[in-house]
Amino acid sequence: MGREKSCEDPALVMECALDMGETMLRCGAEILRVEDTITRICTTYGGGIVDVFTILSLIILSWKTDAGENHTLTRRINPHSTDLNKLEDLNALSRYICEKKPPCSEITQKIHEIMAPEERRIYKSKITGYVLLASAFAIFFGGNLRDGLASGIVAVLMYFWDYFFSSHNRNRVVYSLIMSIVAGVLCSLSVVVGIGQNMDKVMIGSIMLSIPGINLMNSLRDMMCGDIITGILRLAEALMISVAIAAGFGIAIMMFGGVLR
Amino acid sequence: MIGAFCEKYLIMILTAALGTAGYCLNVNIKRNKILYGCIGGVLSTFLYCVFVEAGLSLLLQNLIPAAAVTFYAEVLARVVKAPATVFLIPSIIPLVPGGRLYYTMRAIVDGEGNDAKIYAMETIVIALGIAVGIVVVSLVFYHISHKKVQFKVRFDAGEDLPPGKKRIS
Repeated sequence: MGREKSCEDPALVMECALDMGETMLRCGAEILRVEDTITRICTTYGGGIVDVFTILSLIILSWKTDAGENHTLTRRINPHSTDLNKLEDLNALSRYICEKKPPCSEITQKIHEIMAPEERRIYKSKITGYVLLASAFAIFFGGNLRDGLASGIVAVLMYFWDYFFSSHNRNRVVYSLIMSIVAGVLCSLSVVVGIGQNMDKVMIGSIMLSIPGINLMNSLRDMMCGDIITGILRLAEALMISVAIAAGFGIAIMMFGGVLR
Repeated sequence: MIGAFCEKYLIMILTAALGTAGYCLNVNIKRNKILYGCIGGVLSTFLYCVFVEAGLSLLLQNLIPAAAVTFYAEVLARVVKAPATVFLIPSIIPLVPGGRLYYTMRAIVDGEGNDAKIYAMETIVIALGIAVGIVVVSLVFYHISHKKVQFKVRFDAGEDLPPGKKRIS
């Protein structure tokens, strides 16, 4: 594989490989998958020896082509939100690249198609997701139907909070803290108004909305594959977010401490 | 006995299915794969309920369902050709100790140190159980699927490794 002389410019190939790696990392792929994809793309287009080093916020790619030239590129990865739909598309694209070996311009175009910025509007499916998640888990942990209803209402309000404020904040820990305070206050209010009956169940329902499940999962999978650094980074982030969530709800309870029991 | 089991846990299993579907919509999984996530969620909850009923320890109650669901996700990933994460994350969600996390925090706020300690321990044990379950099964699959991976290595370009030996790349 890769012995024939490549017609592609190495710089372009590396650009494409890094685009793929960056987008995959942003969508929530494991480090191993990212490094594997980059290595495969480079070997497919020009053979040679590929060195990739990836952590959560940086990719370093160094490539010695068969022609004997050395190239290095680095890329800083900005904070990101997980999107498993796009991750799946990117995975399929990388399979397609390694089988068909399309020209680089086509790859760039396809990546741009996948990563096209979403229209900023209110998604009904997302609201449904929020409501289902919150109310189902309020009942799952032992609440009654009215708790589920209250949790669902809080979830709709939290969706709009997310919609208006999530893009302003780069720091997910602080954002989770503030979001949990708001959610906690809303949950307490729903009990005061009389929609929900058990405050703990309503709150558990809305805790499930912001639990950092994907971070934890990816940190486990990274550590297992030997990428300890990224595993620890992701684990630390997940733990800090969990503590922030707990603290946020705690603050909300303290504010309503005298009112409710 | 089966009737009593259904009566006790049917609501849990149903709500787990609904909640898992909600999570799938939240993280934007493709529509045609939401069903797989729901099945995983139901599977993990069902096993969890069975082991609670059987009286296993807190660790095993979560470890075995997590391992089973990971197996399910990894097999499905190879059949449907999508990353295993897509199926694994929704399936694990019903096992996540969100309730325990809340009660830990509640006990701390109320100043009941002993309760807080117990709940915190339980939260950690559950998280550990889930983690071990996932890691053990994924490790097996990782070794199966990465046996054949070979990239060029700098210093032993001339010699050939015997088939089946993995090169460090």
